[in-house]
Amino acid sequence: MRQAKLSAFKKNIQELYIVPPNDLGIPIVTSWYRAINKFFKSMPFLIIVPLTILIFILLALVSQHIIIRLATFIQYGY
Amino acid sequence: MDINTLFAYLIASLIIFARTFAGLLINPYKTVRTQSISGTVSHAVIICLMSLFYFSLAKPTISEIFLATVSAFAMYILTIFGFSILPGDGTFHVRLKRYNATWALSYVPTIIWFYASFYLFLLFPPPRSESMQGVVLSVLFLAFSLSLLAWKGILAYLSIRFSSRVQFYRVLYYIFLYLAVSIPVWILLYNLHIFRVPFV
Repeated sequence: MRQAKLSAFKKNIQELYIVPPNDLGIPIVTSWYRAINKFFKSMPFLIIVPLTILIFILLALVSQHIIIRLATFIQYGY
Repeated sequence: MDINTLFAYLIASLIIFARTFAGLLINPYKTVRTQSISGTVSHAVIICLMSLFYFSLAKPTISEIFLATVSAFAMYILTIFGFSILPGDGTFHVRLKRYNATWALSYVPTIIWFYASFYLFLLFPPPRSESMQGVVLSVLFLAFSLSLLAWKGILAYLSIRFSSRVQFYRVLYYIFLYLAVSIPVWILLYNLHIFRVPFV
């Protein structure tokens, strides 16, 4: 039992390090990248959905005509 | 393989696909990483079948269904071959196996978008009006479309990252190469009326 748990743990650790962590060359850029990246690694829709709704609400406030034209164009595109 | 074994294999594949789909929603990073190691083929097969079913719904004639299906499959095969040729960790065949397992997952948002747009087209056919309901529906539809595009972008990035196992800048370079080759193909397919929105 303990051996099985140990081998599963080893497998998980090996899986974690199949790729080396990203290094963008400049330490501050790398830290920014990691700070932003963590939001997209798990549950990305918690960020993406409110952000996209906000973008299009703002666009609708600027011009409803653009929103209507864009939605019609994309809907014809399916 | 007898019919019972085939049926059991199909059910098992569907259950695994459902779990992977939930994983892509909740934890895309870990799911794509796991799939790049397992190298499973069944997801690609299920997505191919879903695409074929979609084309049979959306296209009016057999020849158009055939043309759309062949074009989509050819683009998929050429894409995974193209990415596998580019430098990365492991041999060409190893990378090809990984891409086959992970790149197919980046088609999940595309397929959801196409099915949703198809049924939305039937329920609320365009053009939209500038009434309150029209604007709200348009905002929701555009937000839904952009969310799926962002999800697809994340899955495509992770697919390249874990299949070629390269660093961030090289992933961006590979995406740039992919777009440089694909955009003319999408324009060609658009002009030939095969896909009005590219099957990316």
